[in-house]
Amino acid sequence: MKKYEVTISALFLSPSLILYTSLIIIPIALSVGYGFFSWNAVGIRVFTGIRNFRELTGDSDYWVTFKNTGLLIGASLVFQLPIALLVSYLLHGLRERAEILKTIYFFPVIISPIAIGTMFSLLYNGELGPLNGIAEFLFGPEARRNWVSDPKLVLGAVIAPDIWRFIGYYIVIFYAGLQSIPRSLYESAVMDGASRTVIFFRIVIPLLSNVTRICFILSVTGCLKSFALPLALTDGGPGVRSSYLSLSTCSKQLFPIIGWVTQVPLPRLFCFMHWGLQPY
Amino acid sequence: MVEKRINPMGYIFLTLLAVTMVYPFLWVILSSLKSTDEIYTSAFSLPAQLRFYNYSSAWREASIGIYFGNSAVITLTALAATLLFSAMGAYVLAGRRKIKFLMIYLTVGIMVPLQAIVIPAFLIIRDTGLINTRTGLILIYTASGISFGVFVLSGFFKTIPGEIEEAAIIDGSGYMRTFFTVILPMAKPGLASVGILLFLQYWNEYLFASIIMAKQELKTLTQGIMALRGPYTTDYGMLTAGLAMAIIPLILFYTVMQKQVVEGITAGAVKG
Repeated sequence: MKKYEVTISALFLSPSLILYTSLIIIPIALSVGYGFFSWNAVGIRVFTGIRNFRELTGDSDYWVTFKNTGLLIGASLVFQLPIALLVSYLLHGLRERAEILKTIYFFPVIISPIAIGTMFSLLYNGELGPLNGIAEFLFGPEARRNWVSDPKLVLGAVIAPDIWRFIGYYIVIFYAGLQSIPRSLYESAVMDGASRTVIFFRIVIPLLSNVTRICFILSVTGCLKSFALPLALTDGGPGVRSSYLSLSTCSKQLFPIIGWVTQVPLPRLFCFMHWGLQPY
Repeated sequence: MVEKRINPMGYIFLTLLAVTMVYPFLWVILSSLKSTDEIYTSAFSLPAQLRFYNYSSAWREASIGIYFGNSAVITLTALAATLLFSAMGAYVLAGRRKIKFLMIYLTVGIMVPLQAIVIPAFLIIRDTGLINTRTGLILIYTASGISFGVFVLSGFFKTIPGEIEEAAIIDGSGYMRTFFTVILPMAKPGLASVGILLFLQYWNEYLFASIIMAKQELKTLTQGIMALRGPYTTDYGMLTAGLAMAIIPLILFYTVMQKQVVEGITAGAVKG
């Protein structure tokens, strides 16, 4: 009986263990190892130590994508989370309508980032995109812009949909947090004559600190993974002006190589891999 | 509740935000019913007449129909495999014999973004001859979902009281049968939330699809959307129709199951 149970446990575990080990764990180990070699994935592998890493940090494009990733994280923390917190607090005072609005806000979360990026490339389009039409209607003809080809605007134009897309996600998380605050706390605060603003800063923010921490982690790691949306929107261009670490890893280095057309040496690529190894 | 009325500014803000969430999708769907000329000349108006020409040409000429079918087959197969394998694994790990090391080992993958393993995983798939096969992509997706599945489901199995299992075994049901006929049906809510999140993850995936599926007839929907955007000329009518066909099924899915979708995605995220 005992032996039978061990056998069957092993049987139950084996499909997930085998798949997961061969396609996730071994590739992680290889990914880390590749960084120390010069190799184009078909020829011989030459050990080069940390040369790849030095080459990478000496590359100005790398630092541009590094800075862009930092700006994306900064923008998320400055806009995404505060807006979500404020909205969830406003929703908290409503009831039925809160559910409907929450459902609407959440919708973009489930759409593929490829579709969202493509959609925004149309919205930004200089000739047919509605964004220029709206800008013209509100601020006059000189408000028209080349949103994704103007190097000064492009990064903002790529960051904005990335932030927009996930606001609803954080609204739902904050809203759930707000629901867990005991109602008696609000009631006694109102009895003591506290205004909504005071309640927000003195009760809501301190009591939501755990939820805020979770959202902070999710938001930062979400930014580090942002890949398909900028790929579909601008492909990081012009140059690497709107590229992130995770995107330049794949788009500029990987795709040409995977086609096996240009057998460019891979070392730089494998370096980027390490920056991809971020927890989320 | 504090007070039910909120000031008008708050309302305006909430409404404007809702408009920004809806309008882009609405614009795409409206544009998909126009001719490309009409999209250029009147970006804001309603379509002069309802024409589904863009849809039929995207579906057939741009092969969106084929890509759609590929995405459906790959996503559903990978989803079924992930749910089955991770439920089996989670059941053992949540059982009386707790194998802590294996639990940590299997769930650490939650922290690995797919971009970080794309080259070695690609090479492994290539060396096993699975490039340009549905199996290759299904295996990658399944492997990438196992950590999350095991994590959530083992938490779920722990809440099922041990007496139920014992009762089933006393009644003469074997380990296998207990799992498939007693435990698995009880875990339906857990399977649903894992399933929804992974379904969206697989359906929306692009990176691995783009490197594994090079053959025209095997490409997935996200690849199809990217392919609609030619480098020099783009048929905007067809592109918006292709986008609409990617978005509308999700709108329907979301309308029917919004509560489970929101719960599934956020519960997973908070736990993960």
